[in-house]
Amino acid sequence: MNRCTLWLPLAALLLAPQSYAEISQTKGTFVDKFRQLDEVLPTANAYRTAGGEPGHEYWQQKVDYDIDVRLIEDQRRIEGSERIRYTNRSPDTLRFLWLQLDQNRFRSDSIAERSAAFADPSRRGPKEEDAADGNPPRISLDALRRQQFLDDHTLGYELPSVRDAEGTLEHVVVGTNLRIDLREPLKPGKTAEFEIDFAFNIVDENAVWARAGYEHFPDDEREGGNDIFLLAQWFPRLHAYTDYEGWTNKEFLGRGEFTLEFGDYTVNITVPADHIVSSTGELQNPEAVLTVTQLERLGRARTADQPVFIVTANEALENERDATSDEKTWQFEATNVRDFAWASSRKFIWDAQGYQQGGNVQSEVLAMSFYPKEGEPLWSKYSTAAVIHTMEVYSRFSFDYPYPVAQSVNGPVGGMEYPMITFNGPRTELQDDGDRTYSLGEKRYIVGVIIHEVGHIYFPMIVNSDERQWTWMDEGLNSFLDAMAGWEWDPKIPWNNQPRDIVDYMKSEAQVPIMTQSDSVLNLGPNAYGKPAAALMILRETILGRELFDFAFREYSRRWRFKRPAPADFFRTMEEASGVDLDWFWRGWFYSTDHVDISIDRVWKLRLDTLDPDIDLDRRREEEDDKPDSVIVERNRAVGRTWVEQNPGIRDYYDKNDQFTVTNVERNEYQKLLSELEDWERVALERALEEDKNYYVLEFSNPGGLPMPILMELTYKDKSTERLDLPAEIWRRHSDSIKKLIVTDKELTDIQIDPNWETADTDVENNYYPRRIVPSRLEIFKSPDKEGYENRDIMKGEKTELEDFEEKDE
Amino acid sequence: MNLRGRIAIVVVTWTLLSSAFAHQQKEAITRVLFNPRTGNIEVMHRFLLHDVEHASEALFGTSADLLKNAEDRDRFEDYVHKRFGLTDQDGTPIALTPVGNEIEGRFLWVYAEAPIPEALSALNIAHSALHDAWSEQTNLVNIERGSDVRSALFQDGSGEITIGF
Repeated sequence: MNRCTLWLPLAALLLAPQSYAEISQTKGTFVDKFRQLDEVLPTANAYRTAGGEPGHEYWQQKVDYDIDVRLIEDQRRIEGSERIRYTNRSPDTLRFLWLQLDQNRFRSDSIAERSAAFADPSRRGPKEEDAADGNPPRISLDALRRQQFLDDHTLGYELPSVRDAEGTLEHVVVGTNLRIDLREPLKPGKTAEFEIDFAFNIVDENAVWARAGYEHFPDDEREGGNDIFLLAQWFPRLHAYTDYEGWTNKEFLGRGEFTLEFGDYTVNITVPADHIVSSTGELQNPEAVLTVTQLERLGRARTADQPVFIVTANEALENERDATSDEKTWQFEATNVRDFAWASSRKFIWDAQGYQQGGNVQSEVLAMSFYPKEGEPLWSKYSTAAVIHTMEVYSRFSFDYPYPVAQSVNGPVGGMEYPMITFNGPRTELQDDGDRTYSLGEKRYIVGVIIHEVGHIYFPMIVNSDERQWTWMDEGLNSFLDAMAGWEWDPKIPWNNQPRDIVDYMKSEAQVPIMTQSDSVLNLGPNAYGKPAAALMILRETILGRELFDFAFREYSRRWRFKRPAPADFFRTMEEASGVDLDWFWRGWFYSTDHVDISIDRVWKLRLDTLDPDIDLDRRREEEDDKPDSVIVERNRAVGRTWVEQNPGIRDYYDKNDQFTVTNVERNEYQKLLSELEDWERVALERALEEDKNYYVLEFSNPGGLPMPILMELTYKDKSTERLDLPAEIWRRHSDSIKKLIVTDKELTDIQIDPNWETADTDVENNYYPRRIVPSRLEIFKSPDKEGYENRDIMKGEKTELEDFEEKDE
Repeated sequence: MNLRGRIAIVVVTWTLLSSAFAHQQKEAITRVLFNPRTGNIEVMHRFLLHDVEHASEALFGTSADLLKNAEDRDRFEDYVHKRFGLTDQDGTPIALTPVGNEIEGRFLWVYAEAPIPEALSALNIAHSALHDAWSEQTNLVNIERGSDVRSALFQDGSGEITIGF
């Protein structure tokens, strides 16, 4: 058997000393978990301020596209021509431009294809297995299908022409990148215009495992079947040129997503005349491509309070049966978007409903869904509703949805986002009786995925973070918000990313800090989605509170709407706008692999001395009496009397007066002390004595290492409870253990840390004082009294006939 | 010299829905807890319900509704027990007894246990559940003994991973 010791390199990776730039503690053991982040964050400049705002010289490029594109259905091919206006708003002079040619990733000579290792677990793609346990290597039919598709089709871009007004431009294709050498250096503030003709054969998304492509439906009535076409990364697009990285022209390997420039688009899409097109942008020529009935329905949908079918299920079924050789051109315009995607099929059912957002940004948004019969009845019920719900919640957390349409399209892609349009995967199952059904899991999936993908239209399609560098900046923020929207949809559904769900990941050794570049992240899901989302929930609900968090988060969204934020801009804005120092929080949650585990180790019960010897010495005597007798004394007593008891004559003064006996020496000292007290000292003492409160010193330790607030539920002798929260700053001088004095009226019996499981504390057992045995999940599962209501099969029960039980005759 | 061998075909056809959303799925976490109260090694696997539901179709050739059907859950549990194993430092298998499964929110838990062997100095772990459904599955295993947590990350083809104590 193939053995390897993965934990060793992992441990080495994680145990590498944490470096805080050039500053380090070189003597002693003090760990400063509250050290300010300034030394780690990039130096503020004229483009990005120290407060996390775009600076007074902030710039980003602008790229406008006019595209004519034709879908040649029978060849499953795209042919197009684009006119690009590139405006250089940077202070730099550019001699060349870099464009993305993502379709080239499917070429047999691409780095993506050539570097795909056999049976590499990290790759996206069909199953392959290395030889193991004496078995030969194995390859799946999916892998064969992919191989054969790549063999049979010429893939990647064809670029017949790259030219400007004066003729062909020098250009070089470098893998998935295209460099265009400009005729003249492009000075700041100037615009370059050029044209590219392009074409490519569309991939079968199910065969190739792409992010877009076509899906074939061979069983449709039409001879040869039908397709759904999802077109993304379908035209040569400009790479981003940024103030922090220059050209972001990292080769596209299929996994890292994109960073792009904003611009305005006019796109003419020519498709078979019986196709329905869903696209980024607003349709400019509805009269030319829609029927009178469809136009009337679309008008009605704008003010409807539920989705209106523009193309009904029956009409779509009718469309599926036949095809036409005619074509129509759909014209779309989109303003201030960072990308452009579209979908086309004659299979689409289409519904729409206006979302009356109000305000002066975009008072009405048309929410629309496009899906084949294979998605019904799930899609007509949930898709458009989920699109509208997402906008309602996200706009409250960030800014008004700024575009005229928001769409959800069903095709072969599980979930992907583009400006104004998302691709979502859920389907239903055809039963023998012709009905289509779905599970509760699939229902949760459709609502969850649509909220998530439409949420991405805000982050990162509008708040344009760099996906290829920092996955967490869009996925983490968006996962936090999609859970917020999910709970507002229906709290009975168990939504993602609660702090309690992330504890096993956070305590594991197999992790890297959230602040790790996307390609180097281990375990992308919990690292870039789950942990940052849980961190933000904790920041909102526990650390800052909703009012401060929401204000700061909205401020971040407002500042970076249609701009390009980096991680420091988020950290700085959240701190500056909330007015709360959060450097310890970013350090702990984003820059380290510490986890949350706060333990209450001891509680000392104390009572205030009165200083009055008649009282205090009496108490000392009581304390002494309360101690158990020596075992020897106790056992001797059972046997017989002691010498002193048997010989009373030996007794003296000290047998009647113990060491706690008060004399006038102590009384005089006490009176002298009282007479020397200042007035305020006497008042304080008298009051404290009168109140006679309970004093407790609580000892905490932090085995997880991550400083967090200590949230406590105190239970008193009379069974009443009280919440007491200590801020995280309590750990600032001693990050591993601290003590806290609390003074209470009532006698304390129990303390529980984090009673609502809101901080992702990994060990519940050490949250109790006195300690409590916390059974493991498995122990609870095995315990006989666990049978609750949740395990009843109600669906089966509902089908059970009610029986009559006759009363017994007496 | 040419090395000759053969390549076998896996007859599981599972079509992945590629997605930005799906990145957060295809991940399972397993706790291997040395429980001093019970004297057992307790194995607690946590899978995402939705992953299992979709995998069932590929693995068992039939769709599954885990929330509704106990048989679907049990079938998956049996499958997990076959694809997770522990042996001691000498390679002697630690016989795990299946305990059951349950749904908690969006998770499906699968349980097994075995008495803690005497003089255990290392654990060899194998965990390939769902690797035959899709290659991106990652199974994170935390070995928890006292306050010590050691981890092993299983990707497709990871084979056996040894954790020494």
